Amino acid sequence: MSYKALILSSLLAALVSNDAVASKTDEGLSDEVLAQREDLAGRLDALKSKLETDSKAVDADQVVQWNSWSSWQSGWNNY
Amino acid sequence: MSAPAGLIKLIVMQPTPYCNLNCDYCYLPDRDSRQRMRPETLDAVGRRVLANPITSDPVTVVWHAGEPMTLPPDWYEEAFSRLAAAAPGRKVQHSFQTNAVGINEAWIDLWTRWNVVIGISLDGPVDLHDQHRKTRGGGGSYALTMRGIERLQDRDYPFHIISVLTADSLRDPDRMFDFYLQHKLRNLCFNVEEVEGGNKTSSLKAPEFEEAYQRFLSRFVERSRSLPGHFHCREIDGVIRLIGAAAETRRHNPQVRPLEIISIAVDGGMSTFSPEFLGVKAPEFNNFVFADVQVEGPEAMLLDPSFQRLHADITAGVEACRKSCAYFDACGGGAPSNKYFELGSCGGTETFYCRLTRKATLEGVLAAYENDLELA
Repeated sequence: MSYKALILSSLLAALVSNDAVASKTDEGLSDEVLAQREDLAGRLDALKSKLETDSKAVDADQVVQWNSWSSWQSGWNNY
Repeated sequence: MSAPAGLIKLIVMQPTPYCNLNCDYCYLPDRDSRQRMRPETLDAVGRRVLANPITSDPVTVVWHAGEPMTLPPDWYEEAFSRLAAAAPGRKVQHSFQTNAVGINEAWIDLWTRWNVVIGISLDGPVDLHDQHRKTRGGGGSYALTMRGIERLQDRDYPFHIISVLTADSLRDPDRMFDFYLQHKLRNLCFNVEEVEGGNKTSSLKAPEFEEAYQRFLSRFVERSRSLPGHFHCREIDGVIRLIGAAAETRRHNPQVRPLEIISIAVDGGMSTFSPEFLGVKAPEFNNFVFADVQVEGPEAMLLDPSFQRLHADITAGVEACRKSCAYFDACGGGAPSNKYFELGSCGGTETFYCRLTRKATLEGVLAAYENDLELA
């Protein structure tokens, strides 16, 4: 493996293992931001629980798999 | 040390920068240029990107950053074939985002043969659409777009609609809903008029429109729940999927992860992060071009000093969002291009764009479900 290929391989491996977003959670947050985060998580979890038990809320067909372009264009994350 | 598989998930290809329309909110800077991607460049994309072990299988290729239908169907027949020949066995989901002007049998035959996903830009009723989506002669483009849509419907070819919402369209969500219902448009996506690239202002840039956008989406949830299974709306489904996702995946943000999205310009220049960086003049980042696909593969971008400076800025911006924003766990740090265009730096935090597309979208959809399910 050439020197350049070795550096690229190392950089690629680092990209996968060193994801700042995935690896940190509550580190260094103020009490105010932490409380806001917990409030939003609580609302999402409450709806998750309710939707799972409420058959009229979401039919299975409603959750479509949009292609990645659509998700990218919307700015929404989870494609 | 082996290369991480599946890193590249989306490839945005610019077959030509040219657009046959002249929409007043368009962010693309070079839409007068008639340049088209050369066959040799297509071969290089196939060999160095599609066949690359770090590219996911299947991978999505989006033909965009100009109006793709200004090149003829034969051009794509050759382009798709060249890409397939250069990366045998790789499953590729081709996708067009188009203004639908000029859809005919030849286009639908091409898309049918290659199973192409079609998105059409249509902003709603004729007055709303024609207000911004102009022909190069200055007239409205509504009739041309609707003719294309009718041809797809005649052939039962599936497609989705992307509507850019402006201040006028937010005022009457029921009118928008009834329009889609009347024209049997069942798969909907909403974009907002952004401050981006060549578009320096937005009719939505006032705090009252964040509330108006929330009300708009809440009303769409109410109306669509009265017609179960009839409509699929990307924004509503996106929030539902977010609710169902594990906490760590809610923060996944492909626009801040190097190489997850690769953009390839008409001349072979490669970029990453936000596709909206393509074609933007930014000397401090070498115009966001970090490698040339005709010379080297996408990994080479990682060694480029301009890429490394931008990556550092984006990482700082994500960290600043993480420390300051209540919505970070449902966002993952925003869109670098919007930070750059609005704040002048990818190291910043909140933008007008994220207030609308992340915060107001989430609040609008959540509020409707909370109200309906008596959780409020």
